[in-house]
Amino acid sequence: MTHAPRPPQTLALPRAVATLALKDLRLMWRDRVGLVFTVWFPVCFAALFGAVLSGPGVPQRAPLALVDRDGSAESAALVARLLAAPEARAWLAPDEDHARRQVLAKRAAAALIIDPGFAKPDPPTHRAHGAAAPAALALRLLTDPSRAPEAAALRGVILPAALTARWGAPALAGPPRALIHTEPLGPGAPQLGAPPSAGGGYAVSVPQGMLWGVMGAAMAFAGSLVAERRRGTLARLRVTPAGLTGLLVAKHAACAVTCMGVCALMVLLGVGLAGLRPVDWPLLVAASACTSLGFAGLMLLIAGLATSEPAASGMGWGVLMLLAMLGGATVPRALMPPWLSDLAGLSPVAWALDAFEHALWRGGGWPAATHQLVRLAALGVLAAAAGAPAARYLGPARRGAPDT
Amino acid sequence: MPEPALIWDSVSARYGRRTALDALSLSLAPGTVTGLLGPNGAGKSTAIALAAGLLRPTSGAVRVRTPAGPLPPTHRAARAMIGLCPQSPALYDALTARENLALLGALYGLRGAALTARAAECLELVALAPRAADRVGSFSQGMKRRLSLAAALLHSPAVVLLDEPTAGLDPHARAAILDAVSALRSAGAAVLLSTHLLPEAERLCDTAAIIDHGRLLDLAPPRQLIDRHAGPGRLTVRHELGQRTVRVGDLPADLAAAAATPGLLELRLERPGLESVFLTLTGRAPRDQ
Ligand SMILES: Nc1ncnc2c1ncn2[C@@H]1O[C@H](COP(=O)(O)OP(=O)(O)OP(=O)(O)O)[C@@H](O)[C@H]1O
Ligand SMILES: [Mg+2]
Repeated sequence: MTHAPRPPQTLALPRAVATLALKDLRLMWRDRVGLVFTVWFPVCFAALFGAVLSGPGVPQRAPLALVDRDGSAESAALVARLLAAPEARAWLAPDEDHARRQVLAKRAAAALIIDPGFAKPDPPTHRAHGAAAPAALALRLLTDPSRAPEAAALRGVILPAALTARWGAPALAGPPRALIHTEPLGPGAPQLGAPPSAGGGYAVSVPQGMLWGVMGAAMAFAGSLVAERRRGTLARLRVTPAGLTGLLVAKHAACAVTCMGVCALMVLLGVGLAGLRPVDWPLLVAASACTSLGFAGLMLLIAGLATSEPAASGMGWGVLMLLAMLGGATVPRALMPPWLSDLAGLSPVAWALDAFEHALWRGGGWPAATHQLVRLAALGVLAAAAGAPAARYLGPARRGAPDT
Repeated sequence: MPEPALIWDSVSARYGRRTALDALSLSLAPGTVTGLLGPNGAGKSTAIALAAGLLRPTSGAVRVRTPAGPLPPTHRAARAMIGLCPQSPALYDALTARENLALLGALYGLRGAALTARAAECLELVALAPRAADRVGSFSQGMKRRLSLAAALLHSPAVVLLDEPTAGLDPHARAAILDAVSALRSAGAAVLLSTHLLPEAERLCDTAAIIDHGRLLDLAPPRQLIDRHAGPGRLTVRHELGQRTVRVGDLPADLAAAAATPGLLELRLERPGLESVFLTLTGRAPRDQ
């Protein structure tokens, strides 16, 4: 066996980066706790919170767009009652399309469409069978799934108003909910066998789950970079021709790939199990990519600033969790008081959620989401640029002279 | 004398306000082993970090001889020439021994069959071949150290920097590593060996550098250092009437005189070692700073 010095081999930087990134992904895969945070927790969160948002909620003074397509005295009476109702903040929209867009743009919690036939006399079959109420009213309520509690409150206001306008009495025998057809905007048609608005909540909780997964991955990678610095493997890799640049690019890439993977997994689960039907796949991919870029950049910044693993995880909780809660990854922004919702607009989590919702069900395409994508990408670049120089320092004390 | 493979040219380094290395000038010649000896905190690891490009000198320069001429160790071409065995093993516990070597080998540009063969060769060298498929997390400290050495030699570097590679090893493992160091020298590598095991350094090193408080105290072949700082030793003469001990002045003359002692039973010559040099040069108080 010979240990004679040999001329150095050449190694292209992309190859070194790929080697290092694969190493990180393999380590990530073998680190079960990190995996739990990256995958298991977001899935559970999306499942539980989706179910919560799909159920009935607390009544509020909710914004309601009204469209009168019937044009009868009865429909006018219903409009008048709703405009005057203290529980709702209602206004008249010119047509259904306009009202629908107001819901999607979050200006209304729901839109009530009074269809032609609202004032039509009951068919004789109903009276023949002695039924006290018709099978359905010609009313459709278009709802924002993220505002299910408000929609439920609105249904409670609309039904007695409609009955009074139509028959002069606020209550009739029979199942009251079936009288108004509820159409949650977003995840497409309600699932077979599920209650009418089930699935709606998942349009909100799946993007939230994606964000939790992305943040879990960012925290896991920040921790691993700090651990590598402490254990000396970072120094060992730095002295190879790949150098610190290759190392940091690889960490960043592996983190971004993991984030994308988590996003893809959450979308797959949402499509397969919760009936989600993304309306804009290219936008969804772009939103996942920009979110991953943004949070991988934050990962480098946290790793660069943290002097120890506890510091990294503390920063993860203190910064990322705060951004998450503020940005609507736990309580949706629609349920926040207005001042908090405005503040939430500063959180990258809110930017990402907004972009995901546009791609998943809100629609609106690139014009609606591009500014969020740009913000996320810019955050990623700036955070990485700020974090990478800090990661140059050697050793836990970080008092050494920086490498070139 | 061949051109040095690596030189520290009046290199200083500071951590904050503490000077860890003060104007160190030293060079490593191909085919030699240079010992780097000094108490705890003397600056050995700092000198090695500077040579490996992990730290930038606050003044002075480190130069590595490469096919493209002398370059600082932070340069890509220079990094490929250096093999570093850090003081702590610094390996991935979640990867197996073979996976650790495969990762590092790939980063040095080794690939495919060449990489596999070289990794096997290095595992053999440190007697870890039977444990190649085990995760490093399940290794003992000594095994990790041995694997760390294998990782440093994987790409057959021209300059090998070993920071206390034998610390905490059993005598067999220590002997194996020192044999490997000899083999590296014969193969033409320039080896820097930082160690606290002075008898071994004395046997193995062509040159020994003694540093303390970041300063180079002396640099010479071990024998010269001993003659210079520890004196020539003591001669004990046991004869039928008792025994006497004399400080050796002129060795041949003293030996001849001793041999002429009537009723001579035993002659014992005690030559001081590097240990005496070390204690003389650095003082006797243990270091805790
Ligand atoms: N990361 C660091 N931050 C601050 N000071 C440091 C750091 N690393 C080393 N030092 C200081 O630099 C000096 C030299 O340390 P170095 O690690 O080079 O010593 P050494 O000779 O390798 O010691 P040992 O035999 O204990 O390994 C010491 O005074 C030490 O306190
Ligand atoms: Mg040391």
